[in-house]
Amino acid sequence: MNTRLVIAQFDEGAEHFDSWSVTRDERMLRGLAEFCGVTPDDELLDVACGTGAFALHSATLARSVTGVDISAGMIAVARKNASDRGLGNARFVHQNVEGLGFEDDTFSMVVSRSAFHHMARHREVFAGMVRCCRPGGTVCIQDIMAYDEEKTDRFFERMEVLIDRSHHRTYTKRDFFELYRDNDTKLEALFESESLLDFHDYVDHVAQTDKSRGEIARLLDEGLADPDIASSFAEKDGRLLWKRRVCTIKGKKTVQPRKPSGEGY
Amino acid sequence: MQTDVLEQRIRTFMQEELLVTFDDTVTADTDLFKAGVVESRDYLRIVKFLQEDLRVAMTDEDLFMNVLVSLSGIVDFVRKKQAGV
Repeated sequence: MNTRLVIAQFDEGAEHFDSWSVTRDERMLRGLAEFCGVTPDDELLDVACGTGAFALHSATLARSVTGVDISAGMIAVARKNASDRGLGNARFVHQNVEGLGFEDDTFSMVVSRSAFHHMARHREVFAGMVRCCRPGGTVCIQDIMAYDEEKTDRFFERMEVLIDRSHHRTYTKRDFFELYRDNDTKLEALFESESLLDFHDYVDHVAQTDKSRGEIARLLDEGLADPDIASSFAEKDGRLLWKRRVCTIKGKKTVQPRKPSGEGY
Repeated sequence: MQTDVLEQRIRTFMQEELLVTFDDTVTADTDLFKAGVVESRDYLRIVKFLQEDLRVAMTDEDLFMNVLVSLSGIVDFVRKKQAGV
């Protein structure tokens, strides 16, 4: 994935992304905050925060929140949102999340929502999240999750890339699980859910051209004609809904025992 | 713990603590999360209930398997853990 492509797309579409129904889904924001267990004592870092929806929701619950994102456009909208809501305990930093510029053990909680599928170097990002978290603190990821069936997964990966050029890969549940296993964290919970996305609303959450709309429509027709793929769609009130699986996973950063003084080689 | 007693205890927890009403639509086999009957915070309460009240030791792989979504799934899981499977 071309990092410049991600930046360009999100800079260009920041205002639109901010108003997208999924970005502002209060029920999902509340659910994630509850799952993380945000408390008034928390100093929370939101990684790849976009226009700051989760950070701003959490700012009403936590002592302080910091959001970081690679897109200056997204950060500008997040800062404006914080100012409009009078949230003085929220700050937003324009930064590449592959190299989080915070001291070790800075935050009590580090969260990333709906962003890992944009990341080519997700292991580096996660290692940075753990590094910035205090021992005993919570590290949480929520993101879409790959389908189990290879054919279905391949189809929807094609669809994701057509809709959103900044999509890198939808990770599997096992991918998320292994991040925790391999990074000094104790897994506490792994929760799978299903989200029903309005397909056409999702297509419009990023700017499309006539060409991309045509390609998406052709691929959609192909999918709806195949019962294996079509089973991941549903129709309700004239809307086409896409059944998207979501993984929410959290763990605690383990406390590393200090080496006895004098130990050496 | 006998199976019927175990199932009743878990059912009571879900009815009283998670406010689940079991009926013709919501049965012991219903995926309660997919059906929207309970939410992610309730998942944490189920895990806590199993660990603290039923003394079930959960491994990372247990958490990975995500079987704690229906009454019957939870009962089967606890039964297997108690049998040392």
